[in-house]
Amino acid sequence: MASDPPAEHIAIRCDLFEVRKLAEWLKARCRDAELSPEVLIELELALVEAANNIVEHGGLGPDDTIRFGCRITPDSVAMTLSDRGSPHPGDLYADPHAAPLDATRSRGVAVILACVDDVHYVRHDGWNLFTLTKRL
Amino acid sequence: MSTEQDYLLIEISTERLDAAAAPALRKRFETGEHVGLSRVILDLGQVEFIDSTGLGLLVSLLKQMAPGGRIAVVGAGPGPTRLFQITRLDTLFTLCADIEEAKQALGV
Repeated sequence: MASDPPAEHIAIRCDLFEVRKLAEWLKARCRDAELSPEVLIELELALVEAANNIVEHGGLGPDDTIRFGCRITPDSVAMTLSDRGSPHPGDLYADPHAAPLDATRSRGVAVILACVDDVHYVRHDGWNLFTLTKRL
Repeated sequence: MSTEQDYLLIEISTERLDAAAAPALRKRFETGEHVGLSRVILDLGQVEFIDSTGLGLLVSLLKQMAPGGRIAVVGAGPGPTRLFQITRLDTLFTLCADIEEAKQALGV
């Protein structure tokens, strides 16, 4: 019997420790696709920051789920996070306020924007769909 | 943590210094050995991943030290190093190859 293809997406509970599962899943996909360590580092950073934002600010409860999918092509990696929490602020990633160098927080958005080439958000049928795309 | 004559060595033993781990580490830092000190060497040799929350914790560490206090980082792998670069915090923390280099950088 042929082995099952890898899952197209993964779902986790809304919990910061669960976000680590997304990172491990992403790293496995990236290793399978033989992406460079440098690309993987930035993908993991962007994913974790975005997922942390959803957990901490997305209006979800501990039993709610966050779904993550990743599409890797020769030209790009597109990571999509989806949840049924509160709508994201529309301009959250448009023009991030640069945190002072000695700030102890509020760097997450800037890190995401530094690690990927495109950030796209859409709300559809009660779902937040957040896609981070990195060109290879 | 261990204290040499002129600096404090702090070793972070967690593999992921992230938002999940931050509360426990923040509690650990509450022991306060670094408070008011001017020189710290931070060993990140076991840390594979840092996110912005973890990095903020390290900035908090620096802000609890004496005015003008400095932290030299040793053992930062590719992932943590990249985050220091992205956030320009490699200008606030001195990234060094080893403890001897860190001591030189701190002037101890």
